[in-house]
Amino acid sequence: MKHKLDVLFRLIAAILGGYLVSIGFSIAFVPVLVWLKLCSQAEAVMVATMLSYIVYFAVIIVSFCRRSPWLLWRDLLLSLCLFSAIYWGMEAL
Amino acid sequence: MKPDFRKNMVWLHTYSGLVMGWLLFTIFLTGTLAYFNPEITQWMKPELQKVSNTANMLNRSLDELHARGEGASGWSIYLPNNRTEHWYIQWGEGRRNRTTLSLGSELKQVIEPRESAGGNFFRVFHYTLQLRGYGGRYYSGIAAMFMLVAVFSGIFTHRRFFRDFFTLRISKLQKALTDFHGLIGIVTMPFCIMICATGIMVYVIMYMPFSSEHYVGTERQLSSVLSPGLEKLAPKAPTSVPITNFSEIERKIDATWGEKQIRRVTFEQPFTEAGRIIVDRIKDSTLSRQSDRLVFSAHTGEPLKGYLPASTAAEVRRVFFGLHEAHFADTGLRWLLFLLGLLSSALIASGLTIWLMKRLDKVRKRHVSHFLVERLNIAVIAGLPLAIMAFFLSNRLLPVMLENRAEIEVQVFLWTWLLCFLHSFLRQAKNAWVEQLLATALCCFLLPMIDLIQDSQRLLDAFNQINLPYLIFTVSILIVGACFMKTALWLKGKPVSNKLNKGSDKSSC
Repeated sequence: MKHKLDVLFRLIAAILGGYLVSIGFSIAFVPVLVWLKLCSQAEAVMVATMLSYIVYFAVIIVSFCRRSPWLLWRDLLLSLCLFSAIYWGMEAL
Repeated sequence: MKPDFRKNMVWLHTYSGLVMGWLLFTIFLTGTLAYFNPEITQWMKPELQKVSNTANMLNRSLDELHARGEGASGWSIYLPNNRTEHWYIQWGEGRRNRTTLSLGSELKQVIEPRESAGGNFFRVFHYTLQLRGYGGRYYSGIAAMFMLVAVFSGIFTHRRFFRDFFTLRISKLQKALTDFHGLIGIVTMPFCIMICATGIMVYVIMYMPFSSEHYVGTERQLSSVLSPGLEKLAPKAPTSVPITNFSEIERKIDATWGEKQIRRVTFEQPFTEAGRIIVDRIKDSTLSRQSDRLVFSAHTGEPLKGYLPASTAAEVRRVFFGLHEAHFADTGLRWLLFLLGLLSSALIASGLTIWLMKRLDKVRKRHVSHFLVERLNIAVIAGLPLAIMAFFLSNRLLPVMLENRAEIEVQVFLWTWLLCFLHSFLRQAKNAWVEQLLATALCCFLLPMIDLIQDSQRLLDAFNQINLPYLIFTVSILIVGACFMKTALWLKGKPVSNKLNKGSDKSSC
């Protein structure tokens, strides 16, 4: 039973958590690219969205090799906080 | 932590592969066939003869359009190329409401190819799964992501690369399959990563629309910002007449691109002052999905300001898209990609089979999931090729003048596949395997025969005109049939045991 719950938490983290984190990344990375004057906003949207799949992939892999699901969820929440911080920080700039 | 990591990766490999395996096999096999989309269409519409007289094709098309498409808001001309003999013109209003006319070699000759889904069916099916309005494109995107995860975790599952690569134990079926799985896994890994990643990139914004919606707007708005099109032409009453002689423009195009580079000519609002001609280049010489375009005025033939270059990000996506579609590939490279696609399908099929064999070996009492996996393996690995063959057979056997013929062909495909599912559930596993494989082999042998009996002139013409797509299709079908036959007979000779479950390399040919 414990094993099944463990797998379930990891699955949710990988599929749903991964998707949320990559959405966060795809939104937060755009102002960074624009601020660094690397490209226009529309281009930045495309670049950030493309790269967000790599983030998704990474989260999926990490989900299945973190020691416990709690650590994993903590990491996911932290990265979501980080992305919102970047987003609001850039907004304030 | 390290041994744990590997264990986790093995688990991930096992279950990501199992859950999506059947869907992935379907997508990979039909997608692989889509590499030969125009060639398969060429076979499925045998009325399309080789266009022997290629002189002045554009002017001849233009004459027909002037005669038939008076006052239409759009005209287009599609020229035959080295992959298809289909030469046709279209005219009408908008994109949907159009009339198509196929042209032949003789002057003023009009041919009427039979209605058929053609090779395009495989292209559309492999990403929409015939569920376009019901999220089909999302399922294939999810499947592609699973495949990437399965390939990555597979690296750690079969980690002894060199040892695995040079090991092939053929004495025992399960060992042979495992070694085979490891071997082609290594061979097709770059291909699988490329094809899945670029497949996701095709719908990159659709799967992850939030950034775009937050900053720019819908996918369409984003792409019109990134790669601006020409300004829209308002439909007006006819005021002027489009050019009747294309030679002058053709000379200009040949000077810029070289000869025989035109794929398509589109007239937008040809009967208004602002009407324009857009000429698309063939895709042989570009990795990008969007080939070069030139724009001319529709009634003077003067060059107009063309498309603005797309931004780098959009161009990168187009190249990903182009890599996935592989229009740039010449014959050799195309066959290589085709073989890699087949090998990848075999990789998935062998993985599914190994999962089951390993477990049936150990358990004394079968779980319902074993039963389910066993049946789905049969219905997908042996049933899908059978359904594809039924699709080809229906192309030859359905009456030529039947209404909605293309749709019925697709229905035949789907119903046959459903029957395979039912059949696999009703019969014993081994019998189901043997019967479906034999049925596929039989269809493969019947197909060229039926074709020959229906119209023996076709084969003679194909020999005379050296119609390679037609001949190679026929020969390939016979080879595939022989492979299925051999697999089925070999399987039949095996003694029955509860772990007997075969379907691997050959069934995906």
